[in-house]
Amino acid sequence: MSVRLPAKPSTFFPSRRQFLRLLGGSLAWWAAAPFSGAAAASAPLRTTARIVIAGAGAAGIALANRLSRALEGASITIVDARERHLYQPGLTLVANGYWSPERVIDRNERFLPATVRWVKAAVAEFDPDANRIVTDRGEAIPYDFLCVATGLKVDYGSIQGMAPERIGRDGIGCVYDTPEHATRTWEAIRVAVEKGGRLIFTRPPGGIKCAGAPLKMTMLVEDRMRREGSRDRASFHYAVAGKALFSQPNINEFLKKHFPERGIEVHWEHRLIAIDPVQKVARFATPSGEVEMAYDFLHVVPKMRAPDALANSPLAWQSGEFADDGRWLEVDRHTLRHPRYPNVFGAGDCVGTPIGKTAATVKAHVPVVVENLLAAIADREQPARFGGYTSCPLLVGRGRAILVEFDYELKMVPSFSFISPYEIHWVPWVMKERLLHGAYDAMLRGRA
Amino acid sequence: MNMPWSSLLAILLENLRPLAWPFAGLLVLEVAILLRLWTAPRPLPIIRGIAPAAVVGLLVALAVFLLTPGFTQADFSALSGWLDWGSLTLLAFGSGLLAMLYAWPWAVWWRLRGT
Repeated sequence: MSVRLPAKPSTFFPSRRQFLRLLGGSLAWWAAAPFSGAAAASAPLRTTARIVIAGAGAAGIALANRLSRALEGASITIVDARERHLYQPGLTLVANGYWSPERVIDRNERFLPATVRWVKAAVAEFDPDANRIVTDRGEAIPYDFLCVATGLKVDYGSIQGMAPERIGRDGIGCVYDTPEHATRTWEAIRVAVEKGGRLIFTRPPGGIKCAGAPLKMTMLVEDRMRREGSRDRASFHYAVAGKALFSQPNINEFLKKHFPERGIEVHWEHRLIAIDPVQKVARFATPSGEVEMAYDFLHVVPKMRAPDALANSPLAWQSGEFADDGRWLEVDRHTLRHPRYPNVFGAGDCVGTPIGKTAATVKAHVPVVVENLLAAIADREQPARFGGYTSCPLLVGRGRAILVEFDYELKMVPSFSFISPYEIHWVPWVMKERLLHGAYDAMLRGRA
Repeated sequence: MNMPWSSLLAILLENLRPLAWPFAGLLVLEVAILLRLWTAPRPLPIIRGIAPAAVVGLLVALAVFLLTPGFTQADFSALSGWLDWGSLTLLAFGSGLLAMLYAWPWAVWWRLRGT
């Protein structure tokens, strides 16, 4: 095996040194290309502003990364006691046995930029009139600009007899909040899949994190029972507090046909208010009074609302649907800026806007908040507008999903023209199962 | 398409992050073989290299076509319509094409042996 060197390089081609330079330059350009667009478009803004980010979830970390690159000289502080980072879009896969819980657990420190100060404490009080927050350790942190990204609170206490400790016992499941809950839910589902019986899935009123999750849980469990041959031994019930299964009308119509085709009985305007885990009976409030239903497996989705510190602060909506629903953060739905406290912005699940408490919405929120915050620092008009984008890979069974993306006007806004938002297909499943975690991490790093 | 290319590329790179070292290794090998070819005697058997590279591409395409369902847990039990078969075929074809392009310089170098 020998390759002879030519006596003299061809003059038509560049020399080896020139070639290496060209190659090195090309590689450097290629490596920098995805990240240079935003940087080239606007050089870092010089400022001495003190910026505080309340919450180190998906929105908080993505904001920290983008702001630390977009600002020079600013003091950025992020406040959150949680060191663990959860990839919450993966919880439905954990709760159905497709993923191990380890796949959704990470560490916040892996994503936070070194230039950002991390105060490991929870926000106990928002004091926007004094431009400061107070932590549960009593530390007051003053700010010039505040980004509220606290996430939300799953209100287990809103259902009598329900507590997080019940999850996984007595046939009770709940996919939300932590991988531990999802894992215990999977244990309860395994029993239900084997034994059959009456399976009830619930959907509370108001805004909830990933509003597609209760539907996904219903369809994935039904699909598993079909695959394992126990479907005939079970009856499926979906108790929804409102009059629709999904906020997007086309998908709502699809589901209204799809559920009966799969033998899933829908109970309209049934709001879960109490559980008797000993008798295995669930009580619902309906327009015609309270109704009791016996169950063998009950998927509980409690009502969700803003965390106490935010809900009890002047930053929360003081009246209207978002005050009654969960005392969410008041923001202009397009600029994501607080209308009464213009140095306050919001992103993620805690904001009171009509739709979208999803990671996809966070991905759309963050660039808008950053651009508008930069404009506020420079005392300019708010240039960026959020159109309400949200997305849900609606898993209808193992290996099959619909990629639903829509906006405030409930119009479909597909990211990829080759994936129809009206067809059940394997590609959205592969995206969900294989690719979206990477997209989420890229978002955390402020790259996507 | 509503998603910016920069976002798509960032997502792609993030997904490739766990495979960064194997990819870097493959890239270094490819650059090394290209440099060898750069200084190899002319004419290069570029056309003759297509055949073995195509065989490699075909094998990779076949493997992707057959292994994708199991690897992704996707439901291929009831593939129907051009969209389903088309997507899978396109994925396999694209993977095969990439593999062929990667293997081509190697195949040319292999053809050069003994010359």
